[in-house]
Amino acid sequence: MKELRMHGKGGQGIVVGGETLSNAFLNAGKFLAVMPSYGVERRGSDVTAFGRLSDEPVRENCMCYEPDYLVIFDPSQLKKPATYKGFVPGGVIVACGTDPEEVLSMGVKPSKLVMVDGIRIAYEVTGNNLTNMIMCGAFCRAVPELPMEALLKAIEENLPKNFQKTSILGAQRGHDEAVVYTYEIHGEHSKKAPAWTRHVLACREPEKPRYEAPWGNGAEKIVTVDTGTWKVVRPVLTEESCIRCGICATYCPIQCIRKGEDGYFRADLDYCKGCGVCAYECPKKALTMVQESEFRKA
Amino acid sequence: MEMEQKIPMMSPGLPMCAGCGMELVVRVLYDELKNDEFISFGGPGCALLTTKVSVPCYGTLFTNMAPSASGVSRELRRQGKDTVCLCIGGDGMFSDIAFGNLSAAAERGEHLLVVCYDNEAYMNTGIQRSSRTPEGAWTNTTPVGPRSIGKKKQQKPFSLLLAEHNVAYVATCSPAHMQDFRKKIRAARDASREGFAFLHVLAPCPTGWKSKPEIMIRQCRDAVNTNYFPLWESRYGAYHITVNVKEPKPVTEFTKTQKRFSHLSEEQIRQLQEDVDLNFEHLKKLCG
Repeated sequence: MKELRMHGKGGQGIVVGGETLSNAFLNAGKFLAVMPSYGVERRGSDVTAFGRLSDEPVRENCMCYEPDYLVIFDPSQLKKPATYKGFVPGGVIVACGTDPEEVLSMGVKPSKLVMVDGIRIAYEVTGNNLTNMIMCGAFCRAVPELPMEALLKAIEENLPKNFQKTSILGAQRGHDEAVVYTYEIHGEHSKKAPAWTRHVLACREPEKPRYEAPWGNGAEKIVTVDTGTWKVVRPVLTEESCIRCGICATYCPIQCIRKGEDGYFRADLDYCKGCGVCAYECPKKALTMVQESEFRKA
Repeated sequence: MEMEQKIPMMSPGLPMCAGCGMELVVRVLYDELKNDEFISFGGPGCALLTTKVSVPCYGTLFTNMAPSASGVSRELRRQGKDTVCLCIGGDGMFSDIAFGNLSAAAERGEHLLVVCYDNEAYMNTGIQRSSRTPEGAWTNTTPVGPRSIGKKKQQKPFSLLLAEHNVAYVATCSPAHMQDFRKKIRAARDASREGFAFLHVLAPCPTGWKSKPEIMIRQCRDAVNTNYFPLWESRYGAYHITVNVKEPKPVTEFTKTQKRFSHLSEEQIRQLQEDVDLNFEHLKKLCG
């Protein structure tokens, strides 16, 4: 039995992507059980899904702590240590990005690494950051057990009609444009026995809240979410056309646009989610939304 | 020398979707109340801020928010304090589930400041129809198909219903009219010291309205300019329109940016326009 873990952002279709892969493996005569993990179910926040691949029907449905396959749907997940946690050396990584060093620098040892510039393809095919079908296509390239026909059949049979054309195009392009890197792994790397044979609870006991009563000192329990990593586009200011009216700061939903010492209003990119309200409301169109990948290159 | 670290009143990173109207509403609300002593109440929903703000925040259930806040408010008045008791909830909470208890608190004239952000469906649970969902709109429980074409019933005019309780202050606000919104927050805060104050704020939900996040403010502005969501206030039953729209636009101006209205037939649009006009006529009669 091989284990699979998928990482991405909410709104990228991780759950649908996992289900499509599951149906594709069924078409190929294998079984893949997929379990999505719903945390804060928001567009842009981190989403994880798990899968177990076997020749027989899969009964276990706990989380995967030691995946053999890792599918990363978004470039923002590449730099997070949590993405690679428990990855078995010698496994396969399918990642959305262009630079293999970005993955290898995180200390993982895959035998096969498949990179595909999913965000660029997604913008060309669908006009947004929906990378799920592209990554499924790239996964086909990485895993010889799954022929491309099985994936295309799964898309045709299970996805709504209005998404099928772009989905098939995306999957095909993901399969064709993926770059495969292979590495030699020295030494024996064996997986630990599966969690259910070790009598380890898959669902750990939840942490006790710091305050039993709903009343407490709020100052000590304030939770901040790293929303800066959610964005796909970021606002860039053209200073020549800015009239420093501050309308962007008024309407920013996160209220992260502040007046700087030079009088210009700039967004705090640590928290900006890239919604684009500031650029849309700017009367002089001094703000433009620029793709994050432009900055990743630089 | 020891540095004194300033703790922000509200977390700079809140886990809400990009372009969330509610996030702007909540942030402006807290910003406007920052110089006052206040306690926040939150129920199940996206706006439960218990762990994200440094002011005392009390998490309640749907139905018991107004009664819980009433008890806290009464005890604070007994101690001689004029702390503002701020209740934040969505349209599902205040217009459907907790409407009875909210109405009871309004009738008793409790010293509360209740803010309802209206995204016109149960968005947190996955877009189900609420009584504030407009006619014809798609939701997961009013699907578009051979047997159903969106919601069949009108919106519940629940801010008017609350104003009819003759409470201290009731107002509708839109984040696009920011000065008007901030003015109404201050007025409601002052009114909550003498009685019940209620703010009904339009808060677009890009996820549930199936629209692009960047046009969130434009949608709020269109809602006011088409008289779909007129801005008014009422003090003890004396109504007054605060933003007069000279030439109201057709309601399609508001509906065309949202995918949840994309299936509307001409007949449905005509019906929606008729109801918007009738509701506005009714409001004008109330304003005298």
